[in-house]
Amino acid sequence: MAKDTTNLDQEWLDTLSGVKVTGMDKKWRLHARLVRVAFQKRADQLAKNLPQSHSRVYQRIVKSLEEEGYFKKPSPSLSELFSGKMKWLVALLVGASVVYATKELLHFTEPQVAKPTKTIDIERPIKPEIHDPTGFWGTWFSPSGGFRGMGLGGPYNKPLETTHSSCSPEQLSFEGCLELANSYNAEARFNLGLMYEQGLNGVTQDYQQALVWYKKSAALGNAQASFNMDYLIEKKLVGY
Amino acid sequence: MQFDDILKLIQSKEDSSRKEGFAELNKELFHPIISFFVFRGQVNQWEAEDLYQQTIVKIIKHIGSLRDNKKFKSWCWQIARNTLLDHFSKFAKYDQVLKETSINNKIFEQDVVLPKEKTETQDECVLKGIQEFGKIMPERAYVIQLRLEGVSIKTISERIGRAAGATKEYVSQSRKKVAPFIKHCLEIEKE
Repeated sequence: MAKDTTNLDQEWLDTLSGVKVTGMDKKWRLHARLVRVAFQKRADQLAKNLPQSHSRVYQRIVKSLEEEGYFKKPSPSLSELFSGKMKWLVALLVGASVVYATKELLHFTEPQVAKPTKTIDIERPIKPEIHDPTGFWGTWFSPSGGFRGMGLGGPYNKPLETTHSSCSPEQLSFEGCLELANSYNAEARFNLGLMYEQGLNGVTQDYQQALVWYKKSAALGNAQASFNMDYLIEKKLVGY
Repeated sequence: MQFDDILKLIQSKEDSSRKEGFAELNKELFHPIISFFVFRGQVNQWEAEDLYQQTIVKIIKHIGSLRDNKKFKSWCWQIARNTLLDHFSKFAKYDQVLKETSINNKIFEQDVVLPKEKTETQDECVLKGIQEFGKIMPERAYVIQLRLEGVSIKTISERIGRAAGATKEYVSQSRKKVAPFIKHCLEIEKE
């Protein structure tokens, strides 16, 4: 009897596995087949959902292991860097680098057009003793107060009426520019600085004098004068 | 890929090899372990995925404590079983395991009487019975599932954490255990 039961158990299991068993009790064969179908349905339900979750779970585990230090984190691409938490810091660094690089390259060598100006100007005094070019403010702001690399000048470049016009790229005369410069004309002062720097129109090259006029022009809010002034200082052509 | 090769890759010092080993391990274990959690643990698919993640992370983290490299595969399954037991104890589902053990010892054919609905087909009735069986005796249901898939006794024993002889005996009792749950369905066609 026990042997029969053991055989039946084995036959039932074989039928369950899909093996064709001959001579098996019909009732138990049907039983095994029904159980097989039911189990198969359960398994199929799960198998249907698993392939979609496979890669998702894989990525999740990789990330978790990377965070715990078991795998090295891949270096982020530029787009990932900009979309991550540090995007503002990265943008700031890139922006600052561009500003710095721009500042390094700027040097204006063309004389400017000195237009007749209208209103009276108040010259903003420059205090070199408080403007350390190697300090933070000296690095990022010109003596005139403008942010370096952005072309921003001071707010004191008010137009001033004048009768002289012989201080332009076409007709650049030292005397004409000097007269205009004495009338608080920023462009004329820039042109004087340029003439001293380049030794134009018979003017003896003198970087120190160039610095003085650039400084005066920058004090009136001329950004280009400010850049040229920085250029002279940083190239160590003049002592500040 | 063989588990020995996977282990070598995971134990490698190179990050790329370790990642490759992990990918292979994931390929080998994902489906079987998820099925184990779903059928044996009676958890839903989302819980099964979480438990699977815990299992794999434990495997990778504690790979240094593996004593016998030849037993890597069974060690992985041991970790999966322990993860499930931790889950049970955390959510007080451990009672279910104890309940199953006690039911296994006491249940007889005449004890189980499931209400029969006349409108349902035989297949639906059996499926319902099997689902009930899976809830009450998840380990037996899981073993039948593996047997149905043609998994060897050795592999079954590895997954449920029993000796091969005991597993064989355990499997052979499947017919008697499942019968009470679908007995009433066999009469449907006759009526």
